[in-house]
Amino acid sequence: MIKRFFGLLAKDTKITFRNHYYTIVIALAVMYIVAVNFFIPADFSIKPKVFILNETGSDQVLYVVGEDERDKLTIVNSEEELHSKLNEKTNRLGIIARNANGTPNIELIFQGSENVKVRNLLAAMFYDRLGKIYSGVEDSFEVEVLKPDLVVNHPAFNKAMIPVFVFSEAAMLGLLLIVTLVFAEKSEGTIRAYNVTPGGIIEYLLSKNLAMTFVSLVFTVLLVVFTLGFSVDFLYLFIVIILASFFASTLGLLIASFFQNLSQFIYWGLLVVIVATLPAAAYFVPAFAPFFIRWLPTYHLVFTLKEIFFSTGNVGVIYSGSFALLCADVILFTLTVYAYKKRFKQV
Amino acid sequence: MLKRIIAIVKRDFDNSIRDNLLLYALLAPVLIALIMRFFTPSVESSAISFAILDNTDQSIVDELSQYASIEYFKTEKALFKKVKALGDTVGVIVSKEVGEDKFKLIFEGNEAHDSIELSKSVIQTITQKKNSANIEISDLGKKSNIKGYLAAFLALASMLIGGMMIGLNIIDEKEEDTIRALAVSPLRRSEFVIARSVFGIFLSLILVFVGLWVLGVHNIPYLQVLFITVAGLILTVLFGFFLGSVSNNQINGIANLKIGALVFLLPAILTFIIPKAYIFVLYWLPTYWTFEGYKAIFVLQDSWNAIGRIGLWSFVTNIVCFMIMYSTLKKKLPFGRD
Repeated sequence: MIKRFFGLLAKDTKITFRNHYYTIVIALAVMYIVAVNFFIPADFSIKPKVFILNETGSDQVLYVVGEDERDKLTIVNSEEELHSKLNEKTNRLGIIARNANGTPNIELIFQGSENVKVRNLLAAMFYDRLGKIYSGVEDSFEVEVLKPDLVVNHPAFNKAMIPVFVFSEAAMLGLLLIVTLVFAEKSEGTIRAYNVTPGGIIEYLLSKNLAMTFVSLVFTVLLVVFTLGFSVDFLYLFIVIILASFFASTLGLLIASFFQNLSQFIYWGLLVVIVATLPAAAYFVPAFAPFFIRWLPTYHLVFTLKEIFFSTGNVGVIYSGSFALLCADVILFTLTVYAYKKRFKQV
Repeated sequence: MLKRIIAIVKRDFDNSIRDNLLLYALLAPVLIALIMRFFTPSVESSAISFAILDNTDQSIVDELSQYASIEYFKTEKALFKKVKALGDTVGVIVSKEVGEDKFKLIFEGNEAHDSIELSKSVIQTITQKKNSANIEISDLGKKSNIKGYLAAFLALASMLIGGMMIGLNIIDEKEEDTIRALAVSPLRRSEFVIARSVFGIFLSLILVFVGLWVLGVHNIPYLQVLFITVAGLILTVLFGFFLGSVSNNQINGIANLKIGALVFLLPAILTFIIPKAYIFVLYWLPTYWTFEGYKAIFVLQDSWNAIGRIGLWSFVTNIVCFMIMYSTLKKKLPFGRD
């Protein structure tokens, strides 16, 4: 059986080579490496640019804007100028500060496109800061940190994108690509020929999965080495990429079992890729975690990759993420074997 | 000539109906639009998230929910578990001490700086009594940008699907050797190109409008959208022919689609990432202009003047792209008379 498996693996690896899969992932990796190192800025921020009209007669009010946001602060001289600046571009916030016996009155002028909760949050932030600056108010609540030993990293924006790139390209790569191997073999009659050999379904599917994993690993190694260097724990990274690639490839195989040819599959395949990559939104907005998203193994994957690349010391995230992927792999593979057993009988 | 073109278009249409391809191609962007529509409000309002106990006073819950999404837990243990889980959820426990509400914030320890600061500000705002600050809120009446950007992306992706359909049809013909049969028929190259393009073009046009409608874009400026879509359609067709010509079979067709789709959509993604001063490096890319056109319509609500200028640039870059790729395509798809 092992000999047969390696024979199949050699054949599938050759097919991926011949059809330029390695060329494609190397080209993709080069594109991402160039983007990370030369095009994506290191200090990109989505926070709004703040314009302030200060009519208080003192600079004290400028402290309502935090130290890390000062580079985004512009002082204007009139309401007209303020409105004109706000109308010029999106993602801008206006502040008018007027004196009112000590503590200034603040008017926050939004563009109107902001969500109501976001507006309230910003208002709360300024209210809190004004209280501290002018009334000497102190925090009136307790704080408990459950894991005080965690180290919080703030990677540069270009580096912070790497987990998303590895997630969307290396991990999800197999979902579409593996299917082509099966449909090509179906149209060439290879499946019919394989059917009359002693070869089993498990080794047939495993060899394809492993061939795809090699492709994913090549992309991952290239991207990580040429952007983050060797500062990453490659053992954890390899384990997670193998589990993730297995998940995506098996999912692709399972969905493909419902279709007759690639043209039928491709639109649904793309749709599944989009659903599977939805958790990437949670990476950028960590508070975004609807019930449905949390059940996707890829939700765990994106945070596992984040922990591997920018370790906070919370190894539990890597273990639980890997375990979630392993469970998903086992369930999906069992279903896929069952689906292909039925399918092989029909060929 | 027209008869031959119609015959090929009809055959493409029949094939698509037979394999449910048309249905799938139409359904995919519709479902993508539905997903976008479903999740956008949730992402927009998820700046911070609080975990609270079931028995928290309703008045406090009402106040907290003005700032954040709220999740309820029966026990402190369950609440701690949630705080320690993936993502940035901050725990808020309220207890009564001498008739006063006492707040305790629970952090895991690896939350983003903003999650920590904003959570503290919210509790401080709710509990402060001595603060004499006064904050008013007003706005300029603009509408949310996110849906506009999603609409622009969806329209661009819908154009890609039209091209994909053309490419996959050509690969199918190559695999079945039909293309060789067509090459020895009286069919001219121009007729083949027109016939193959018609289906993809119509599909793109339908998908753009259906996708926008499902996404819930109100008051679609149909003429402006049609103008920008038509100005960029040459690239859709080129994408399809290029995919079909460089791919010998479905296996490398999908591999080429993978990289081709990225190149097609990349200029749109880069507009968010590249600093404004360097954005000119994208000017030669046709899909940059198509995306800018959609952005001008859905995000900036620009005038016909601005949209017309973008559409013109889109058309010019499309033509240049066509001229550059023409000889390659001619070689790759050797096909009868000119």
